[in-house]
Amino acid sequence: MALVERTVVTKVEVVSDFKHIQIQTDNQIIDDVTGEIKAKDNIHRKVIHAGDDYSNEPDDVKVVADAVWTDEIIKKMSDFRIAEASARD
Amino acid sequence: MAVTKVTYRSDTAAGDDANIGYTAAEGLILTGQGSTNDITIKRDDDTAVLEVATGQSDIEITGGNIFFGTADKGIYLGVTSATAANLLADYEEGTWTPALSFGGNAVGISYMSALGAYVKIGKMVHCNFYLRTSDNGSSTGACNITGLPFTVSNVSNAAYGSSLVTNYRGNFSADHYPGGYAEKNGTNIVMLNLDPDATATSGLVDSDWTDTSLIYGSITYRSES
Repeated sequence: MALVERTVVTKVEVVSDFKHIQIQTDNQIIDDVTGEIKAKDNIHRKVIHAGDDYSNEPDDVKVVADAVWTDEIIKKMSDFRIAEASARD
Repeated sequence: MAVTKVTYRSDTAAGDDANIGYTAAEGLILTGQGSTNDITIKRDDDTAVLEVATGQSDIEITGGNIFFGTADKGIYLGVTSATAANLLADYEEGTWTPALSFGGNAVGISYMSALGAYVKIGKMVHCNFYLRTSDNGSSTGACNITGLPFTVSNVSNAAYGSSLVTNYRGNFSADHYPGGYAEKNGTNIVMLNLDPDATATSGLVDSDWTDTSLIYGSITYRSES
């Protein structure tokens, strides 16, 4: 038996009409033989935005991104970023 | 034979030692009178789960926590009816990973430390972080700290009120004092130079952040959800 660490996607939230994807993961310590969780609740967060590269995200996240990030949403987020950058200049 | 239906038809009254009652208006009523508690709910092993002390109105959850069986439910605080503005429906603590970008890119940037933690209460998010590079890479342009754990509100007056507070900085270009704000509808901290000798705040850029710059900071902002 050995204790190994794994990262599990515990929540995927789609936020606002820009379809930001908020990802909650939990780093768990498990028994590699029985699969018993020895320690958990090490919650980690990140957010990805329409148009971001999500090729390295877990499959759970890719499915959501494929579903909600339409060309229209990606353009909307891109236009927003351009407008914000322009407003700061 | 299993009991399939229990019917109580009478009301309870003050002074009842222990009673289960019913009225048309109140429905099921549970009451009691003890020297320590008026009501105690126990589980099968005789351990108390919930108590109402004698003559009191407060409820004590004796040994456990409270949770809701449905996500995004909470507690209305400070009001006597369901009012959306008073609903506290979220609390979370965890970690996030701060990173650096210049002009929206991060080519060749490497870190000695990139540690972040957060607490979210309702829509308010408080983040702490420690960011120290070992190589600031080759990207150029405006400096952002990326990776905030929740999307910043898209309401301008909510987003721009946030302020990055740095309690320690090291190895920045001379006369550069890093500050910043949470960028609305995103997850970046837009970095600023708060030089007290300058007449106005300017943006922090790649040439201000050296290979070994470091900051300890915190930022509180309103999230979109």
